[in-house]
Order: sequence, then structure tokens, then C-alpha cells
Amino acid sequence: MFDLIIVGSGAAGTFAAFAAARTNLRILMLDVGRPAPAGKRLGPDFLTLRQSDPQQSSYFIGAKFESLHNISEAYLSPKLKAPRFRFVTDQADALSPLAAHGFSPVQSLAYGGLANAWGAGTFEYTAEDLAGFPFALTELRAHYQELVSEIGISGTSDDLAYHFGSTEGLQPPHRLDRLSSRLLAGYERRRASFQERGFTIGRPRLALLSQDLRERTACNYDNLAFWEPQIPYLYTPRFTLDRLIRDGRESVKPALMISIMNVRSDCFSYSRTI
Amino acid sequence: MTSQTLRDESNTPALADEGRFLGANLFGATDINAGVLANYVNAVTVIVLSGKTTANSHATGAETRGHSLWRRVVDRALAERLDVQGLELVLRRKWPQNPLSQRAHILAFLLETDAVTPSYQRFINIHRSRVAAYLTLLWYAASTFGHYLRGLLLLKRLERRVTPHV
Repeated sequence: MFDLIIVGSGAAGTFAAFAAARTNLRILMLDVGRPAPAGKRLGPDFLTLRQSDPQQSSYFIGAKFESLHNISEAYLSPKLKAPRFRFVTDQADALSPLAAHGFSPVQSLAYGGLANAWGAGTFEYTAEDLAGFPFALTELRAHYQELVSEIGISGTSDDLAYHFGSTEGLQPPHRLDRLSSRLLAGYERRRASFQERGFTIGRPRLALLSQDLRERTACNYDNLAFWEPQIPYLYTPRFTLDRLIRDGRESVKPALMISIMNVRSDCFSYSRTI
Repeated sequence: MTSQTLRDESNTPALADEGRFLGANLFGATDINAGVLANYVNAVTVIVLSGKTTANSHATGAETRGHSLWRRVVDRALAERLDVQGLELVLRRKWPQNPLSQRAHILAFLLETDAVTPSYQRFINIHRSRVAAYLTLLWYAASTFGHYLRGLLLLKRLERRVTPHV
């Protein structure tokens, strides 16, 4: 018997489980759980691969020309059509067809959901965003702090800080390449003039580690995050789920059970429990 | 050589030959290796000739008629091995997913990921000198404009030739 059933392992489901795991509730998460491709990780870095690897077509274009599908098919973001990221949307439309007019819905049946291929940009709501909501920004503050320490967010306090939210608990910002450094330095020299014209430049707030966090290692600037899923320095909900399951195994009462289902177009059937 | 007849597997040599022609004409690549050509044949078959390409439910009747005309223009230009560089530029502005631009995109990506042949160097800016980089950029801008004008003329000529006489 379970007290709480969460359907889907995406960001929302994962953090529902994250919060509920601290209670005495028995939680079941139901998920199709398509896994990321197994095998050797790409490396050592993007430029080396591009300049010397004769097999690069297989992971930049794909054996079935996955990366070229936008040439003839509906729009899919570049990251989602990269060959090693195709598991994120694989079969989702066939198993859960959606009709849409004027926009292209994207859904995922992968373990960790669509966030396997997110861009890692993080923003807090502002008081202005929350005007009319039944809760205030101050009530969210503690939850944001918990997320920052769970996910690992890098950034700094600069002219864009207002848009991103609190800087408490952030990891240091990532180093910039030469062009970005020059742009930022130019902006800082003429800040007043830029701001008069409505331009503000700053560093992004990213769920991208600049320092090691628990078992995850800091970004090594290999520039492969667009091509290699579940890279340790870029947060995906899988890291939180794996940890909840691992911690549960070590405790008397499993905090979280995840049932992976076999899915066909006509039925869902239970397959295994992680 | 029409899109219909190219779906036949026996047309693989014709598609490979088309790949060689487009590589040389569009990208100055005369050294395309067998692997890239095989991928080109497969990709064009899967993406361009599969019958599911460029379907646009929002296209108006006039657009659909235009697409049909331009499809015949592309077939004719490829069959006669005309200078398609300018034609591709002009058609891309009128119909971004035309069959010639699709072929050009496919071949560009395949050549770009063929790191072990000299083709790769054509897609990477290896100029360390800023002056050389700007001169190259200027040369390509002027050259592209020239090709565009030639493409306009070629398109007009081909449209007259492929339009059925009433």
C-alpha cells in the first residue's frame, strides 16, 4: 500500500517526491522511464572530437540522420534532436498522441523527463511575477534555498541579479571565453551609457556546477552538454531520483519506489521496480 | 530524373552522382569519400524522397502550385547539372524547405562531420589573422550576391521551360 502515487519522473514529479520523502509517507512513482543510451561517453572534448574523430557523424548526425530531421519534419529543439538525446522524446508522440494547432507540444517518457534536455537556466519568481498569487515571495525563499543546495547553481551578483533572484548559496560563476570576457568588460566600462539605452548585461544563473557537489563533479569545459546526456555537471532530475532511491535502500523504510512500466500503444503493464 | 523515379533503389548510383555534383558545385568539394556519398544517398532517400517531406497543411493553393513548379525546376536543374548555387539561394528565400535546399543542408552537414578529409577545413574558419578573416568574408559576400543574380536568371529560364504549354 502506498500513501502517495506520483505519475511521471520529470522535474515536478521528482521534487514532489523530494519533499514527500522527508515525511513518513510511502511513495510510489509510476514512470515509463526510458533510459539514456548506454555505452562509452563522448570525449575528451567537443573540439577534439570535431577535428579528429572519424566516427563523429554517428553522434552529431546519427545513424538514422536524427539531427537532420528538422530539414523535413516538425520543429524540435536542437538539443532534443541530437542523436544521444533522442531517448528523451522517443515514442512519446506515438504512445501519447496530442493534437495541437499553432504550437508544437513536446513530451517525454524518459527517466527524469524533458529536463534531461533542458538548457539549465534558472530564475526565481519576482514579487512582480507573484502579484495576485495566494502566497508571497518571502514564503518561497526557504524552498529556493533548498533547491539551490540540491541542484547546485552557479552565478553571481551583477546587473542581472534582479531577474534571477537571491545569490545566497550560489557556486562561483563559470569562467568566460575571450569574446564573452571582452563583451562584459566593454559593458562594465560604459555601464551608464548602456543602461540609459535599456541594455543590461550580466552572467547567467545556471544549474551547471563550478564546484563538485556530492557525487557530481564540476564542469570541465568539455562543451559536450549539447551532445551527451546526463553529464555530471549539468543538473537533471535523475540525480535527485537516484539519490532518493539509494538513500531509501539504506534506510529501514524505502523512501521512494519507482515502478518502470512496459508501454505499448494499447496497454501499460508493470515491469520492474527500481 | 524526377523525385518519383529516384525512390527506386536502382537509382542509388544516380543519387551518388548527384551528391558528387552538388558537393563540387555548392561547396567546391571534389574529394567526397564513399562513406559521405553513401550517407547522402540514404539521407536524401529518407528525408527528401520519402514522400513525407515539406508537407505544409497551412500552404495556400497558390503556394502549393508554386511548390509544384519549383519541384520540377529543381528536378530539371539537377538532371541537366546546371549551376545550382545561385538557384538554391533564390529558392531558399521563396520556399525554405525546397528539395534543393534540403539536399544542400544534408550534404553540408555530412561534409562538415567528415573531419578526416580536407572537406572539413572548408567549413571551419581557421584564419588566425583578423584581416584575412574579414577579406574572406567580403569575398564570399560579393560572390554570393553574384550567384544570387545568376540564380534569379536561371530560375526564370527554368520556370518557362518546365511550365506546361496551354
